[in-house]
Amino acid sequence: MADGLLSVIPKAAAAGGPGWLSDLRALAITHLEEQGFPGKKNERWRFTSVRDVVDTAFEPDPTTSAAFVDEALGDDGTWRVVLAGGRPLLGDAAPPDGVSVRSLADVLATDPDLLEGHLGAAVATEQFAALNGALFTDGVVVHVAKNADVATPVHLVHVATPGDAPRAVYPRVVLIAEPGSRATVVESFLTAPGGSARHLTNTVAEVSVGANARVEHVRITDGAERSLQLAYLGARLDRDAFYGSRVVALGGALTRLELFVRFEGPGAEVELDGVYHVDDGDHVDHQLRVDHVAGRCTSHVRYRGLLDGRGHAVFNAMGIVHRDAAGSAAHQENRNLLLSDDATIDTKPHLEIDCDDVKASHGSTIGALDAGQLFYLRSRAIPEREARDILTFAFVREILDRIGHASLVARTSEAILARLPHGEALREGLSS
Amino acid sequence: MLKIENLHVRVDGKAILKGLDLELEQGQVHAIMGPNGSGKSTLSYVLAGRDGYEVTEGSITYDGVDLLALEPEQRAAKGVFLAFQYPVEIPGVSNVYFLKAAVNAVRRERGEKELDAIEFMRFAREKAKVVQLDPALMKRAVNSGFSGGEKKRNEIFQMAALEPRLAILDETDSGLDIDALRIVSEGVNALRSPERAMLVITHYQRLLDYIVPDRVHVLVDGKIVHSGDKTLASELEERGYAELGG
Ligand SMILES: Nc1ncnc2c1ncn2[C@@H]1O[C@H](COP(=O)(O)OP(=O)(O)OP(=O)(O)O)[C@@H](O)[C@H]1O
Ligand SMILES: [Mg+2]
Repeated sequence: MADGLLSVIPKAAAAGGPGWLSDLRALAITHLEEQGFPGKKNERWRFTSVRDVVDTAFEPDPTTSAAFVDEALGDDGTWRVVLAGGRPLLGDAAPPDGVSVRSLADVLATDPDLLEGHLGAAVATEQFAALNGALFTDGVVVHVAKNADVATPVHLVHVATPGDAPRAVYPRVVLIAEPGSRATVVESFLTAPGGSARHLTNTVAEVSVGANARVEHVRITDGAERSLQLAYLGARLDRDAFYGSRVVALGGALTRLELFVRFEGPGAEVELDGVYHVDDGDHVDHQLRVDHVAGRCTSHVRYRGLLDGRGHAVFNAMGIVHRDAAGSAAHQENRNLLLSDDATIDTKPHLEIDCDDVKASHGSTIGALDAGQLFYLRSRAIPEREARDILTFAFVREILDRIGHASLVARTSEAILARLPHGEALREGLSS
Repeated sequence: MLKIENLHVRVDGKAILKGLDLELEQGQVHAIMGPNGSGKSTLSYVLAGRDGYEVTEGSITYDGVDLLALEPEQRAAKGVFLAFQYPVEIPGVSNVYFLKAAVNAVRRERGEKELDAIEFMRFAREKAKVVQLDPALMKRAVNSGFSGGEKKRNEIFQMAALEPRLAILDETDSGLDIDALRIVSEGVNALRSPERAMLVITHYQRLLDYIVPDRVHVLVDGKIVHSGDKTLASELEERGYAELGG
């Protein structure tokens, strides 16, 4: 272990910053030292092994540019910031009106008070959130002004550039939406062409949605064979706030997202939507937790998975309705389409309810393509392989459509079609 | 055009069709009537090529080829069309997209140029008139949340678009109100042509007052027990199936 991931911890303790930040780091380090990294006995890690990751000595990713991004993403109508080597490449272009986008290192140096109560607030005991807490040096702060209505999405593009030896980045994102504001933030995780060694992206994003604010948060991970993604995303909502999380996770050697939401004021609502696809060599794990602390809040969890080849997906959602959270509604649904006999899914949505006045539902399904639908399409002359892809795509389409922003719906749709055996044939037709 | 000889079919190990013979000439319309569970839909599925229907004896020849050797999509591409008794809902797939894929698959088979999005919309709007299909239904997901009558109209709309040579209409009249029945029947009649044969499955003479058949067959317990001209339908309605043997 001393040679692996933890070997870098002592250095972290020396990092500077305001007093509350030092306390936070110290807490993270203590937590890591006491708990170590999770093994199979940890319920939330039963189906995902990180032994490999933990035993690897990652070097910092020294990359400072990512020229391929503009070509890869084209003009998608978003305002983009690329993070290379975990640091934002902020140019001179001003962000959309009503929002400021700055480097975290910069804010910590010049305006640390803005972050107090936001940075570190959502991260409790998850080990990889603690790892990021111990090691982050930079990242992005997105601050949406009170009552601002920001139409153009702010797009953070995290680029992993693998080298010849294992590399890692630990960027942290802080998103503060002041009361009454509206904004869309997109995070894309891309892997640059580069060396053959593995690359770890260990992110924490902390989202604070102020009273009556509305945040759409899209998260798209294009997994790669060499890419390890261990992410924590914590969102806290004040009264009457709305948070829409739209997650698209397309494969990757290890792609894990811990998404924790906490209702801190009454009358708020979250939609946690997700689509994942796994094929040979992919492992995608989603761990969700929604804490209904305040009453009259509504949570909808809707995840759909496509499971192909020898892919492995894990889905675990926990909805907790606390004693005083009367009038809560908590719904969880996870549906999986099994496209191959060799794919695996471990799914477990569940609820813990300590309150009487609650509307709740949860369920998961794992099924194959519907034979009746398949026959119907074929009886209309559509070849079987095309019919399969049409139905496979249809299974996730409804969730993709809720991403809302047309260029992002198109990008994620195309990325999924590209992963289907005969998706090419469908592409042209989708525009009609 | 279609010749069914001594057809025996099992479903889940149970014998459903037990020696069915039927011959249909180009340009003809034949009706099949018969009690619930006698095997009418089974016959229609076997013709369209659905999995799970085991042909244990007999043969089906369509335009001189062994129909049973073809995949469902090949049969459809060669002009076999089944209007389903229970059309299938497909959430997430728009009716327009679905039908465009279908029409172009058939056009490919016929060696015709595929229609692009604009050409197809023009084409589809024309075809929708045949059954007065509400244009809003074209944008919706296939049959998803359609009323019973809307689903049946959508079937005949598809038939109009795919221009089949052999159409099997399985209880297309059930679920239609009186006006819809007239509209859909007129649509079907408009599609009658010397090149096209139809097999119309129904329980009601009313449909056959609109779509006047050349022959009427009575299917009881997996076999055709009686055949006659169009007057057989009204006879059946008066006297029931029992007297005709079975
Ligand atoms: N999968 C199956 N397993 C066992 N029996 C089946 C199966 N599918 C159909 N059957 C049986 O086959 C028989 C014929 O069914 P079919 O649907 O062909 O009848 P039908 O003549 O179309 O009846 P209806 O007038 O009610 O539409 C019925 O007894 C039905 O229960
Ligand atoms: Mg039937």
